[in-house]
Order: sequence, then structure tokens, then C-alpha cells
Amino acid sequence: MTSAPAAAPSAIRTIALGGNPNCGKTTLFNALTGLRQKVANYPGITVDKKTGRCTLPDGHVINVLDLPGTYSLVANSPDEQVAMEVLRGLRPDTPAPDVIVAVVDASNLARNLYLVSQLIELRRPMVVALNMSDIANRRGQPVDAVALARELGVPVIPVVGHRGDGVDALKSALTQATVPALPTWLLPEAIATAITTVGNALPALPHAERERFARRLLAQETAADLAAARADPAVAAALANAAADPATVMQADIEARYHWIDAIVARVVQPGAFKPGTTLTDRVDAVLVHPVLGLGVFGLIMATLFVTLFLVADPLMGMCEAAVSWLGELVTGSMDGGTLKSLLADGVFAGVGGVVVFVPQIALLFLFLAILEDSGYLARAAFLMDRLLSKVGLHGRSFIPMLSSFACAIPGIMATRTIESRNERLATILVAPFMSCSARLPVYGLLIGAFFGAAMFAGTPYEPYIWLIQGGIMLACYVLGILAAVVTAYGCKLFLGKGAVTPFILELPTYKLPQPGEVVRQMWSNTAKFLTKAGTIIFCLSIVLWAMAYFPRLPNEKILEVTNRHNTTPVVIPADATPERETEIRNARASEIDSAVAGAQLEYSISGRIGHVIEPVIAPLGSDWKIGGGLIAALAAREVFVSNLSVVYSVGNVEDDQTPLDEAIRADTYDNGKPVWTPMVAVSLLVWFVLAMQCISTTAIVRRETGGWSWPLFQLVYMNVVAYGAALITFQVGSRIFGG
Amino acid sequence: MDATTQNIITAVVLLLAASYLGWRAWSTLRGKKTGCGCDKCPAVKSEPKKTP
Repeated sequence: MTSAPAAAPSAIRTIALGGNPNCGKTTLFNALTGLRQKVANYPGITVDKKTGRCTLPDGHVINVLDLPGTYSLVANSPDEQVAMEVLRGLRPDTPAPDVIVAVVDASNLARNLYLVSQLIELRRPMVVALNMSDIANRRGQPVDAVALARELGVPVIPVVGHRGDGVDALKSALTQATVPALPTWLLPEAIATAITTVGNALPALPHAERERFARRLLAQETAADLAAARADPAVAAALANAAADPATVMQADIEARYHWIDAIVARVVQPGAFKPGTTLTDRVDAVLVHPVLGLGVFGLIMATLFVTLFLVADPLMGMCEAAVSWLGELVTGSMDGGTLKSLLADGVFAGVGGVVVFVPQIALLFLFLAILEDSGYLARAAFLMDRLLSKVGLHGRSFIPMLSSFACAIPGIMATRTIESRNERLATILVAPFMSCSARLPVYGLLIGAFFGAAMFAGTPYEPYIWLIQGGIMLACYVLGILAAVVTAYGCKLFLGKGAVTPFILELPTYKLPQPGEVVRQMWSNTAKFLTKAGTIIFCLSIVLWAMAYFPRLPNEKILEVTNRHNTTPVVIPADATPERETEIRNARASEIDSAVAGAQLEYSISGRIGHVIEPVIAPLGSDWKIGGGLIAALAAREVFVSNLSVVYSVGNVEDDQTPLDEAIRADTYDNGKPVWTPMVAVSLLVWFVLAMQCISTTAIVRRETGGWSWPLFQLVYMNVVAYGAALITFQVGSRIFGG
Repeated sequence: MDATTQNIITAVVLLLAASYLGWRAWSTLRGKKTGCGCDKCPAVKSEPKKTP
């Protein structure tokens, strides 16, 4: 086999990393570019191309494209379509790669070489990055890179992406990239004849290209570069004349490639003592992917996660709360009272601070998820879920998008691009927002902490089990979301139909110890997104919400009216009262009047008026107008519910000291002295927040992914109707059984 | 700081915040940004996709 000469360094502008899912492309991309794209120990993380820049040893700067993983250049799902089109140079928005870096998992060489056999046919300069050679060596099956380079006719560079080993050699090798010579496929005679027949109908193509085009046309590939040939009547006639079954052609093609691959593997892989089924991963998998034991372990892991969230995060959240309070006092303490002081204290610090105190819980959740991801466990969880998901019309591949949605529904919905079937993909898009995203966490944390915490259970036999109760309720919220998703998916299966059944093929990665650097980076990356949102959108929303709770100001005559209403009875000072006691009694009356005026001011404000307008709708849920205002504000983003309550209770608080929000809501009462907030109101609100669609960004991304407004609008109406109904039933039934 | 100065600063801050939110909402619905605030999702750079 002979190869074309290497490309000149200055000719290289763009390289593309292509390879099987989970072979380490993104890890290598990060090592080459210095970027920090998300990597995880399971396939399907990259669903779109990503671009970075890399400096070669001679100082030449090139673009590096990281592509979604694919097993073949015959695309079955939108993410594979992206990879195929970029590698074939068919995308108008992306330059064709000058060099293809075929990333190959050395521990699964035969399967990875299948894609390489197709990349060779693209006739572009190529380098093979032999990744995970450390695992192959550990298994006693090292790959001889020199022999492999000789067999393929291109440079083969052993690399270990996560350690950066071999990356410099790979950069140097890019300038040595060669166009590999075409292998000869041993095809059955009937198919070879059919290929020749169709190839003869493509006279405009160079001779070497005809066979490849003919084979792809016969296999009924749908890539855009075949469209012109397919439209040609002569080609259509030749295809009809050849009368070859596409499946048979494809099968013969696959067999011919594997014949070639097996011969290469026999020459380059040292036969070792490795026996499949005997590794530590296999032994652990015997339990973790067991149909019964596996589900038990999964449930145990999740329960431990949520209990730990409260147990560990609580003291950290207390510290955050103290820090926000201290900062607020530092900034506003010396200011004269007035509009700006109220804006800063009641708007910015209460609104943003109210959400920021939940950062420890969010960071911990992401820390746990990153550990599970990096260890390789989540791929097993997806495998376990496939059995359950397939019963309700979802695909095993739906698990990863649903899992991503626990952080944020947007990347989750993007991740549905790995799903081949249209109906399964649509169903996954519709159910993904039921997964409890990180924006819901502050709401869950506030309500669970305020009504199922120390204040509720102090002095009861349940006091030692508060963490378990809180973790259990939090877990129940997540489970309720999953159940709603399952029921909805089942409905989709009934109404949309399941569509074409596509098998779920998931490569279970090798278990590995999570890399501390990667785990911390993932946690920080997700937490930083939350903080960025708090510093921009929530910051601005808090200011607007403050203005809505502060303006218009109560006219003087109304203030006088409220004051007089509370001054109808004279202040009674006992005859034997000391001067201190007399001052105390008078101050209490003044404070009562101030509170009444602040309450009237709040009701007079824009927030108060909006809250009162929607009060009849939300009253059956046990919510008052202040909660209603929060629910409206949360339509922009869920965590704004907490900001809005912080602002409203802060504006309505005449004291200068900053009462924690959980205390403030527990202390709030109606005029008749009945508490506004009860545990049942909290549960009803939790149900609402689990099930409701309250995120403009998610609606926008659903529009983009489904190509129109019908599905996002259906989703918006459906989820909110379900949420309202479920919250209503929860409150009405719950308050009758357990009391308000 | 006197009341008038406080009112002016408050009005400016409020205007800026409202403008930012308006711009953000508009960008989100036009599909230029994810609107979730992070600006790091692949959705920011990717093409709109029709369900296949």
C-alpha cells in the first residue's frame, strides 16, 4: 500500500477529530486547544461540532474541530449527521478539514478501525491518534503503533489524552499527515458486478471514485454528496438494472471491512492473556447492571446523594447567609434611608442574596454528578433505565438527555440529537423539562428547609431524623418529576406512535477513579453558570421586582387612614409601669402601625395589585397574593420565586435587621392571625414547581429543536395545566387529611 | 446622599436593568442566545435543527 505525500504545514488550516463515541476525542481536543469542553466517561456528550485553536510546534496556528462520536459515516441521528457532514466537507458553514485526526481507542481497536476504514476513503490527509493505549497495555494487549502505521499508511501516534501524553508528538505528526492508500475490499461477485454496473453510469467521476460512489448509492446512503448522482436518470436506471438489495450490499461491505480489520489487528495487537468477562469492571458490572440489584444500588446512590445534600450543605448555606447579610450591612449600613438604600438592601441584597445562599447545595449536587459521570457509573444507569424507558416509548439514549436536564433542560434538549427516531426524540424533548433542574433547587431548599427543618421538628421524636426527612422530600420531588416524565412519554407513545424501533447500543466504558481535577472543574463550571445567572439575570430581575414592590408609593391620606385604623384604641399604660416599660409599650404600638403601613404599601404596589388579580386562581392552592406574585415572576426563571419572596418580605419588613426568608415566611399571617404558609402550602408549591414549565429559555430551545412553535406551546400549556391540577389536588386533599 | 440624588441613581439603575432584561428576552426568542444566563451552552453556537 502506498500513500500520498504529507501536507505542507502552512497548508493546514483546519483539522477535525473524528472517532467512535467515548474514545476520548473531547479530552484530546481539550489537550490540543487548552479549552475546557465538557468530557465525561460515557458516550454521547458531544452533540455538535466545537471549534478551538491549536499552535503547532512551528508556531503555525490551526483550527481544531471536535465532532460528535460516530461508529460509521452512515449517519443515523442528528449528531452523527454533523460528524459525517463535517468529515465529508459537506457543511457550508464549516471548512472541509485539511487533516483528519482519527481518534482510536486502543483497547477496542477492531471496532474503532471500522470508522477508520471509511475515513480512509475520504482521500484526505490523516493521522491516527491511538488513545487509551495505557488501558490496552494494562490488559496485556498492547498495540504496535509502528506496525499499525505501516498497515494504514498514515502516522499513528500513541496518546493518553487525560494526561496529555503524546499530544506534542501528535501536533508534530500533523505536518506528516498523508492520504492513505485505498484498501481493496473483497466483495461477493454479484455485488462487485452491481457496483461496476452503477459505477459505469458515473463517467464524470475519476475511476477510483466511481466504485465508492456506486457502493454508497447501492446501499441507499442519504448523504448530500450523493444527491446529484441519485437524480441522474442514467444512474437511476443503472441502480434499477443492478437490482441489488441495499441491506445485502451494506452487509457485504461491513464483512469486507472487518475481513481487512481482522487481518490488521492480528498483525498489530500482541495477543495477551486478556479474557473478556474477567476484569474488575466486569465483576462490578455483575452487580451494577443486574436487573434487580442494579436498580437497588441506583436507588441507594440517589437517596444517599439527596440526604447528603442537606447534611453537608446546611452549615455552608448558613455561612453564605451570614456573608450576604454582612456584605449588605457593610454597603447599606451607613446610608441614609431612601429609595437607593431600599433598592440595595431590599432589592439587590435580598433578591440576589436569597438565591446565592443555595450555591453550596447546587455545587454539591454537581460534585456528586461529576463523580458519577467520571467513574463510568452513569453509562450503567442509562443501560438499566433502557428497560424501563422502552416500556413507555422512550429510548435508552433518552436517559442521557434526561440526566443532563437535572442540571439544565437546555443542554438536555440539545442532547436529544443523539436519538435516531423522530418520535422518541420528540417525546424526550417534551419530558426533559420535568427533570428537576438546578434552578428549582433554591425553591426546594427554601420550602423544605423552612417547613420540614429544625423549626418544625424541634422537640419531637423526629428531630434526629431531620436530614433523612429533608433528603427524602427532596428525592420525592425528583422522583415525582421522573414519574410525570414517564406518564407523559407513555402518552406520547399512544398518540404519536413509537415510530421505527431503533436498538439501543451503548458502550459501557471502563470504570475508573474519578479525576479530582476534572470533577472539580465540572462542578465549578456548572456552579459558575448558576452564579453568572445570579449576577446578571437575577440581579436585574431583583431590581425590577423591587421597583414593582416599592412603587407606586402609598399616598399620605392612605397612610393616615391605616394609622388611624390602628390608633382607634388608646395605648394602655399600667399605673405601676416603669418608664422603660412605658417606652416599650409605646414602641410596640408604633411598630404595629409601621408594619400595617408597610403591608398596605406592599398591597398598593404593582406587585400587590398583580398578586391580588391572580389571587382567585391560586387561592385554591392555598397560596396568597404574595406567593402569586412570586409564581408570576418565576415564569422568567424558577429561582426568581425565591428572589421575589425575599424582595417582597424585605420591602414589607419595617425593621432594619435582615430576617432570614424562611423565618419571615413562617411568621407571615393573614389579618385573622392564621398563618399564610403551612406545610401543606409548601408541599402544594413543591408539586407546582416540580411539574410546571416556567423557563422562557427552555421554550425557546424547544422551538429551535422542533422547528416551530406548536410543540413548545403545547408543552407550555400541558405542563402548567398538569402542575396546576396536581398542586390543587395535593393541597385540597392534603389539607383535609393533615390539616392546613 | 440626598433624596433627589438617590431617586436619580435608582431611576438609572432601574432603566438599565429593565433594558438588559428586555434585550435578553428578545435575544432568547430570536434564538441568538440561550437566555439561561450562562452563555456557554452549545445552543449558542449551533444551528437550529429540525426534528429528523
